[in-house]
Amino acid sequence: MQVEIPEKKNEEPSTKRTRRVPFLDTQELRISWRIFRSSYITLIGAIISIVFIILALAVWLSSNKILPFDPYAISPSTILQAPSLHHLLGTDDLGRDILTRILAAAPIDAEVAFSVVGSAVILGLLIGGLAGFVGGYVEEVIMRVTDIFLAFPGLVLALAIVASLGPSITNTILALAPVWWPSYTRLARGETLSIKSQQFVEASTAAGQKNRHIILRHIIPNILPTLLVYATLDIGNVILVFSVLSFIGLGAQPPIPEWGLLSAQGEQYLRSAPWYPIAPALTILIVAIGFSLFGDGLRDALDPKVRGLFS
Amino acid sequence: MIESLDGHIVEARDLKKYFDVRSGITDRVMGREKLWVKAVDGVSFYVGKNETLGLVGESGSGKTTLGRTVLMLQKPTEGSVYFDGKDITKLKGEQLRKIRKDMQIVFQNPMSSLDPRQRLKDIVLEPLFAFKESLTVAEIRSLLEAALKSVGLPEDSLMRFPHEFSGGQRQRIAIARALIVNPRFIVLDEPTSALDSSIQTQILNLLRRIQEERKLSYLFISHNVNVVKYMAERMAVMYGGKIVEIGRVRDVLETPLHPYTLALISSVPVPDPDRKIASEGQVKGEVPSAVRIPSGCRFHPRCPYAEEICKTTEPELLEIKSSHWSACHFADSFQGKALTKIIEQSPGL
Amino acid sequence: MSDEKLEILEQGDLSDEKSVLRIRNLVVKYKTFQRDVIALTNVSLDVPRSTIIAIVGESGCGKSTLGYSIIGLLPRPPAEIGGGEILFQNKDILKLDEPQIVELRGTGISMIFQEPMTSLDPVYSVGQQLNEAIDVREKRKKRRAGFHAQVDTSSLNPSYAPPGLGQRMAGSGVSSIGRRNKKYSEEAIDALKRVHISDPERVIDKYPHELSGGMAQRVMIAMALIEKPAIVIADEPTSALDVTTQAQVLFLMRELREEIGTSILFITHDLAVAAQIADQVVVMYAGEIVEQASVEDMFHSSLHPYTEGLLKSFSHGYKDEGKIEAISGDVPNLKYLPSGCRFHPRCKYAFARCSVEHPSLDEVLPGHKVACFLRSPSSSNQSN
Repeated sequence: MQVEIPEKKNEEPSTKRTRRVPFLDTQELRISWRIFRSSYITLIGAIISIVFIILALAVWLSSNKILPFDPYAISPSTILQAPSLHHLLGTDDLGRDILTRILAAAPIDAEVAFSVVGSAVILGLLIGGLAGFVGGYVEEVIMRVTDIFLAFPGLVLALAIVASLGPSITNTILALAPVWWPSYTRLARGETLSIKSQQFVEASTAAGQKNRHIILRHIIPNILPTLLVYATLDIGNVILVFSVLSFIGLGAQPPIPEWGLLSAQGEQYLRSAPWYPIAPALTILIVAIGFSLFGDGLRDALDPKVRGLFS
Repeated sequence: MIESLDGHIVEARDLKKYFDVRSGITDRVMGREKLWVKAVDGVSFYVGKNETLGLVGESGSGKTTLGRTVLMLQKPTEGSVYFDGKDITKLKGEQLRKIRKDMQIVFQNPMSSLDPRQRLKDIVLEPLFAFKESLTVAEIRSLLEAALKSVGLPEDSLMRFPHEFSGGQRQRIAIARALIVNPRFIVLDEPTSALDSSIQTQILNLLRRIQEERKLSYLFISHNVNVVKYMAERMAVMYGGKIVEIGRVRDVLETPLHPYTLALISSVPVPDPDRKIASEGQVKGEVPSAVRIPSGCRFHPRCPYAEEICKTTEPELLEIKSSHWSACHFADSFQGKALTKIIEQSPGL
Repeated sequence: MSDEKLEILEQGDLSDEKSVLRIRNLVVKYKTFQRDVIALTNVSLDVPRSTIIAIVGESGCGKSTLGYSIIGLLPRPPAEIGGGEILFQNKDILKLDEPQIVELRGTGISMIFQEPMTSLDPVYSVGQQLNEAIDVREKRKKRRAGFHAQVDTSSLNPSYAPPGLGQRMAGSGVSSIGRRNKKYSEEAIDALKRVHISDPERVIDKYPHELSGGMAQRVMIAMALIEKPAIVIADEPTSALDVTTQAQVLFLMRELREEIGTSILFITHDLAVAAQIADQVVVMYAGEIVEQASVEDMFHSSLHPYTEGLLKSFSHGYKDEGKIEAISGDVPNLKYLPSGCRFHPRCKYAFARCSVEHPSLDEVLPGHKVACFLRSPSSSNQSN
């Protein structure tokens, strides 16, 4: 049974795009939801993460309008009030509502966390994937450069960059990204090596595929899940480091609300008005944990075999 | 071995594939002597048109590497491969890629040879898209349907993922993928070894039917002598990176001319409790390290018939009988004495 | 583990001389998100002393689950014992708690696995691992000696009497630290000699990754036999080996059975291997035993259509002699088992009754059981 391969025709091009990303149609979303729902841990993680993102978006899109109070309005008459029905988390030393300040900080921390982690994932994917796939001297060079970056204590490097560029949120992102990308590069390279040795990659070569296709269609989709899961664990880390930078005074500058900064400003009131530093610190904790729990669920949600069990 | 190239779809000449064991920077800096794993060490053979050459060997024999090298999935260290008369060893890049349309491979493990994130239709269509930029939806549809039909997979399987299929079905998918570009030569690397016995026969029959319909040539690699008997007209036996015997299947299995072939045949268990594998030994010990190769004949440390010459001189692959070659110093005399006694004891056939 | 429980284990009723192990109506399920996977359905089997029984079947037939159930290595969730019992020395070992099962392993019941490389701990040498096995045994003997209980060695070949407890403790040089001691006892060397390793002094210092597959499997066998168990469960021990190595290991196992007298439950997917090694053969399909017979009967006059189909796959001739018939269809999904006889969708002899009723395993000839309406028309409908 000979089947001829027809010559290129001038009719409409074939629709050979498949749904590669498993999230974008309702059936797939339902499966993802079931996976997260299946254990308390992942469910809590998912809820925290989603709530955080929604709140951050809402605050940002409405330019702080949906907040109960003005995060910047100083009100000397309401200094350091304990939590009450009016001010659910109390007020700070300038009379501002702490809950409002915390919520106002959400989009800022979100922006920093996602920018840093996002750029690290993309850089790691491209550079590490290239290193792993091409091998040879290219790989050696890339990995040694990565090692050099890794050898620097992260915080010190970030501090150095911010100190030289001047403290601001944008500069913090620029400072943190170089600290973060090496681990992803390493991870991506390791994963690439392991995927490369799988037979379906060899099969693709045997089928006559170009390397570019193999990298895009086979390698990247298979290493992305690991990187994404690692990334979710990192979101919490970035927020923490950003908080430390702000705590020292090199991140967000007052009066801009940021969780670390709020904790720093409240530190001196730990005895007299404990709600002031504790609330933002606790928020950092909850969000960081939430994302790492989410990461657990994400790993399963991206595994086609697990999805098969839940479909 | 070098006959005329007419009528041969694939021919390998003195093919060698060595792997570098010490090539890190430290090793080079320390000036350590290079160590090679000589996976394939001087192999010549041909596969005729519309015929199957069986390649039998155990682990470490080099058969898998040979299969890959013939397809240029590994670059040979030395030697050449001719496809339909053209030397493909010289090809690189685009030219090499274009040849792949004519030669395909089916791997052993149906679990790992399919990308777990791709749906069946993408897996089967992939080779097609490597060569033709676009086809209409209708054309794709009909090609897919034809491919599925030819391997006996149900039509509703198009959108499913590999893990939803059984091992046998996955192997069918791999075969459909290999066939979609209409190759003329397929390397089958232990295609049924990972499958259940009841499914193995199905797949073997499928492969035979496809070969008859499309006039394909196969290089059938296996460690299982019985399967090769069922699938091939001619067979080669590999040991330690070299072919030790090659000829028509009947000749090799009924009158083996190499002690290793004999050992292999007599080790194959047969489902008959009255014919137990005789004694501990047609062969002693185990497959040797591929790095420190024994001197002389590679098989001599394990061979029950080894003599002085076997330790010092490597035997050449010579035509002992018509179209039946063996690499053993005693190929002709050995068939006389030892054979009758040993064949009685060997249940493998 | 309390002393009281230990005694019960030891002083089990040993009057039943015939069977080492008795499995009665075993049902094992795996709980999944959707439906339960019924891995074993009503499996019953008697393992006599000094007998090699081959359990043959393809993937999903339950043979490995059976092996793991006996030695208590089933992951318990998600696996669940749905019914039945496994009697070893007349005690239902399914009801034992973990410490008691641990006592049993090695002494009463041993197991060897398919991949010898991964079954050995890569950071300890062969000698150290053998020492560990010897050490475990000695510690158990000491404990039992303290309770005046006897180790049941009556199932073993009387001419192979293990030397007395005192002798071994004194003369063997086994360190009580066990694994970490590099001095290897005579017994460890002997164990290696017994499995036909020709230079045990050299091998004993090697690490698992330095061994070849066949060698590693021999070490596994040596370890399993150190404690002279009453029964050894061998889960596909030769499937990962080359055919020439496999021949050597099978030959070795036959010899050892003669010498030591252990029973072996040999799990394999390869009928031909079963013919080489077994006294009795049990064929399993989709979680059930479909045929059971002595090895001669099974291969010379098999009864079940599935067995027949499997045997046929060995009978192919040369390429020019035509094709052989394959069993059609696929191995069934254990979550969605066919109604009636589980093999009926693939059986070329199937008739009406086969899709409705489920055949029970009947003894149609002496020592030959089969579950098939064709061969045993009087077979009753056993509920699924």
